[in-house]
Amino acid sequence: MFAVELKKMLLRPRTWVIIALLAGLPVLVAVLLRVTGIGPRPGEGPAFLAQVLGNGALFPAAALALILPIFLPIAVSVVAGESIAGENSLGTLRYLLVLPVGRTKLLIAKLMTVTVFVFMAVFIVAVVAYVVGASLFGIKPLPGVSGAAIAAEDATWRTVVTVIYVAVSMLGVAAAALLFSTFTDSPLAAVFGALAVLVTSQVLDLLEAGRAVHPYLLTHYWLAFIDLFRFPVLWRDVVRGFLLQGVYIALLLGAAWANFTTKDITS
Amino acid sequence: MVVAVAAAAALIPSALGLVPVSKAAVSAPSLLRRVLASAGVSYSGLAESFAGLSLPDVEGAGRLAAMFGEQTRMRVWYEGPTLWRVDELTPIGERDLYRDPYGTWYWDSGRRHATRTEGEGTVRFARPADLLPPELGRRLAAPASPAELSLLPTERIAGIDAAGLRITPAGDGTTLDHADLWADPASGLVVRVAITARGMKEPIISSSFLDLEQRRPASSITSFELPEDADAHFSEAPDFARAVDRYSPYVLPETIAGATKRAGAGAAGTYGRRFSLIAVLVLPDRFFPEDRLSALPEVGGPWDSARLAASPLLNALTVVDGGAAYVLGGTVTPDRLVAVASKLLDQGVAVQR
Repeated sequence: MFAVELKKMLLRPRTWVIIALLAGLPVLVAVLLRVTGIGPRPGEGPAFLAQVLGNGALFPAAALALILPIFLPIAVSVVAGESIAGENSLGTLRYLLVLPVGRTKLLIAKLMTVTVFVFMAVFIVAVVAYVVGASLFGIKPLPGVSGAAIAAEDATWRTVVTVIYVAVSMLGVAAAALLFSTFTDSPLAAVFGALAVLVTSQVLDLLEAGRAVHPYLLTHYWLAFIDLFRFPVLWRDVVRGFLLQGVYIALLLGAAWANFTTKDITS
Repeated sequence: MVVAVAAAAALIPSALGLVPVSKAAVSAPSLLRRVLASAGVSYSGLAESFAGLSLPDVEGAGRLAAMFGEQTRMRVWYEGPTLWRVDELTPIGERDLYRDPYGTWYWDSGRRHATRTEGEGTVRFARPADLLPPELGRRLAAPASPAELSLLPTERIAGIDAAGLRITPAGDGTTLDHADLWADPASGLVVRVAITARGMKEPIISSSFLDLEQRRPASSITSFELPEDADAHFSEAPDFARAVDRYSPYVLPETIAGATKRAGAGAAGTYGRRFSLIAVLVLPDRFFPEDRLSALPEVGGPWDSARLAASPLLNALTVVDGGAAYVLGGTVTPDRLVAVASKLLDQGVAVQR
């Protein structure tokens, strides 16, 4: 089942258009930086972008920071929101379930497909950003936030953990979109539901009055991957970010499973 | 079932906070003594401070307005009073201060710029490291007398069952109503501070550890190495107060309106006693950015112009008169600042040759 869903996702032009758009934004930013030579003022703008002009090694992290707040979650919402609701709106869901395929198995296959998409998108953006950064700005030892350059072997694992962290951070959004996808036969409504969760979380995170709930917000720890580039690494928020996503994924997917397995689809 | 398990997982951190704390068997005077003797305790950790003073953001005042107006997140490695590192964490970088026996290195990750300053200076502006619970706690504990102390319930803070101590200043004209400290009863290290100004119900400044380890940090962490790609320069006066102290030609008197000088030998000094402290700077008015203070209310008096920045805890008065600019600020009422400024203008300040 998973193989079928994966093949379907990989063969869809939409998948690659979304990934191209995701990778395209950092490429556009890099070209503009290279042509104009004007970066954000030091200490301002998206993380690491001010230093990219002098060192392309930072561009993968800068690219992920660029797409993380809005562009990437929208892309993930579109793919995950469409997964069940899309089949439902086309009328193919009932035929799928007429086959000897359990609903739980179908939901897991959809979830795994979305997860593959998320990891694939984040990985491709990071690789494209590295190639573009190296070509346009050159590669030097990775500068740490705390000053001293990060050794090559350290830079590798920190970048790998960053890619995994950003991808896992998106799984909470994917789970929300998947949940809404089980409630409606309109993919647009499912995407809108996930984006409503996203925007609500980001707005509350900006409010000083909402300080008590900040540690529980879906988006609160998203940018904590910057702590991986400090010396010593500050693991506190990175670990909390992983755990919080785990809780959201369990909660939202549990609800999605409960709804999907009891929903009247075939009649 | 799934929802219940996930909700239970989400509530684990809150549930841990409900585990009963062991009550500290220590008296208030004894806890105060331990706090005052804790300067040599090595530690490292992560702390957060919140302040709501809303001070004006003036050029040269460094991070003063931000520090006292918003949340500051700090990471610290402290071996002793002359060897430590404090990182002020921002969402996209950090500003670090490394202290060694001969001075400080200041690192700004955004600009990738380092500043070296030899020595510490007798008068300087506050910096994020001053907001760390141990530093702030010792500063508040130093002038307290046993009659001003009371014990607060023990609280678990950053994994420590911290004994609570309230200091309520006995009327000496300060804007401070009370300061609450929680400290490790064994080492005296302060782990949380909450400062409440007169007339307020909630603390206006609070600072607390989120994580804490009481052991000596590695020297590789507390020593600064200049990165190859960084700019660096030396500065004798990294903030406005030290610039005034270093370059202004004026010399402040030993006493003003009954307040005795505590520190400073030139144009920058601190006056007062216990919890009523006033910092005073005097400089040629052509170096004073008066035009940036136009949003502040004017204050009438025997001077060319004066403006007041008021908050429940800290008040500041700037006065321009006779070619000199005076900056006065501290934990006293605006009326007291106006009285001190009037007296200072009456007395006049000497000029160094």
